[in-house]
Amino acid sequence: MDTARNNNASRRMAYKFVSLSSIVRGSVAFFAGLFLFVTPTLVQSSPQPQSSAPVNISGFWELRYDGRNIPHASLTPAAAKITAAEQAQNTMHVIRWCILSGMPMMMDSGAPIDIEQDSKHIGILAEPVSGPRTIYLDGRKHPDMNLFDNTTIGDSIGHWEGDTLVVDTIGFSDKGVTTIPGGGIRTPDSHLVERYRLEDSGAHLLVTFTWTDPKVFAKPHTYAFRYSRAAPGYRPRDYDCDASNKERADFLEKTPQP
Amino acid sequence: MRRKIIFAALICSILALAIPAFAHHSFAMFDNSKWIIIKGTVVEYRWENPHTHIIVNVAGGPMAGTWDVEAASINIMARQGWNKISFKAGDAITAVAHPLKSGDKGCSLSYVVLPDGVRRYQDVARPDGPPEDTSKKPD
Amino acid sequence: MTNRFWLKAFGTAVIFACLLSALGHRAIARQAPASEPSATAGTIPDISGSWEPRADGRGRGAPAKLTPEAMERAQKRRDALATGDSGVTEVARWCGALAFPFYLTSSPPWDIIVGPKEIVVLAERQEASRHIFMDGRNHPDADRLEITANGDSVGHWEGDTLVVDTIGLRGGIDTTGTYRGPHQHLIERYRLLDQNRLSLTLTWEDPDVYAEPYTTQRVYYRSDPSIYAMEDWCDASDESQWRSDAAPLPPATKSH
Repeated sequence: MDTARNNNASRRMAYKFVSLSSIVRGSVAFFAGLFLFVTPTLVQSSPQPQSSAPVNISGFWELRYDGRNIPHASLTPAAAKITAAEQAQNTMHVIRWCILSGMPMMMDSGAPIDIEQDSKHIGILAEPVSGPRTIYLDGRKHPDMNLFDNTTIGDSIGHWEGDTLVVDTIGFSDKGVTTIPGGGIRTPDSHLVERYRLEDSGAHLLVTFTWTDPKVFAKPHTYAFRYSRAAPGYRPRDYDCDASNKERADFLEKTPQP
Repeated sequence: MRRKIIFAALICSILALAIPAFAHHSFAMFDNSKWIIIKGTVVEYRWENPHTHIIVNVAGGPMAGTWDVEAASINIMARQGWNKISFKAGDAITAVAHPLKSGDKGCSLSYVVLPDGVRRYQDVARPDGPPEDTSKKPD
Repeated sequence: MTNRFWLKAFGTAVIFACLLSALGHRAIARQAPASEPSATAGTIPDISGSWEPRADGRGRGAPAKLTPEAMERAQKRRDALATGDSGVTEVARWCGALAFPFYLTSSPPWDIIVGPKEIVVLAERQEASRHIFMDGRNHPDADRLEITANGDSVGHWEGDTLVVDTIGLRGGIDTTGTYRGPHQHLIERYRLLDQNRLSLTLTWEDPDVYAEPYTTQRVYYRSDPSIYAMEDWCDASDESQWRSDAAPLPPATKSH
């Protein structure tokens, strides 16, 4: 009787052993396979400069018709006095004379922007007349603003919060196109915080822009853009702006006649 | 004929290889073979593009008068240690430059000599100076 | 566990890995660079960052061999220069594009960013930045090629050297006074001499200018890490910026 029970027990134990063995074997196979698969893929696809950031937002990004969510800004009384007509006149002057337009216009200028990211910095290149933005990722602080020559795009430093790139920009000038979507203008006192996040497995790039400027905004003003990837193989075009061209100048300066 | 071709090719290539500091006007208006030293007081320091201009008043002597010392763009000068507050009205200044061919009181800056005797060039591409000037080159 | 067990486990792992590889490669390929460096992992030279010339940065190499037409043209340039006409006065006066290779012969630093499928070179001037496509694409066909200030650039790594091929550059006189025609073809080779020095060899082919390809080499130095990008401000409408005792300025507008 004991023998039978022992045999049964042995068989149960053997069965358990086999199950355990299968489980162990399966796990070893799984992890070994994962290791064998992942390692060469990582080695091939991660050139050294990319490895330190959690995501890479490089690519040509464009704003489609449904890519903007722009609330009305809450302005100070002084800022509210600046009329749309005055702003439109300044914008036209900048365009007519091929003057650097800068932020924020270069982020929504009618052509895709090119964002290129490596471990040290990110460049944002726009096609129309504007210098490129450089976002430093090396942990530096902003330069001494007593010595800094303010620009239409400011000085940008960035860091990662999880999968979100947070960019802080100060040092703006009052030149170029100063109109801000939703209301208000860019001034030397402006402070811009942007948040960049990939969505839809990298098909979209969501960017929120938050402007703070005590002389312009009664409270921080936030709007958002949802960029889509440009067509594969996209090539940026030359933006050949010729301020000396008479026909071009006449077109921009003269009132259209029916 | 062969020597002419080689000579012409050499000249052409030397021109092609040269890196003049970029100018929206030609440097031909300055006499690059002559040097002058402007010692005076800053009247105006215009830190701007395309060219920074330092207006200097020379009190006495043969060069007495108001001089327009022209330098490079702020993008070029900033990398040689200049910034928007390097000079202000009332500061003493010693500028080593090439004079205008016309004889008017204008010149193209090569460097200023700082109080410690060290030069600050305006453009890395033009590290020249008159042989008789004993001021020290920067490190 | 028996040897046979481990053998089975290993075999299963290999099969599993192959399956995953086949499935996963398609997903990874969308993000991985098509032009993978031939250097082994982790050894791509770190050319990212700001580079600037020093006084010794003049081009080195054998003199160019020019065509007879090019030599005539160069002589005319020298005559014009002697009278004060730099040839780029008008472009600069109107804050126009200072086309490639302007930033290579100018003093401010330029900044290389090495993205996964594209390298960009940021220069402190509007319309002077360059896109170097590293995703394996070719130049557009001739009937689809737009002639631009900075041309169309495609690049790949050959060991430790970045090789960039550029066509579609607009012809004309560059800021060194050198004329090149619309059929020019440029090959650049970027190679680190050490962590702080970048050698750039340019080989120009241009049937309108050179009797044979012309090669020149320049060395650039890594900028101090505290360097930050500046704006090259230019306002053609601000007459006060253009005070000069030089030749008279062009009129405000002209027809083309």
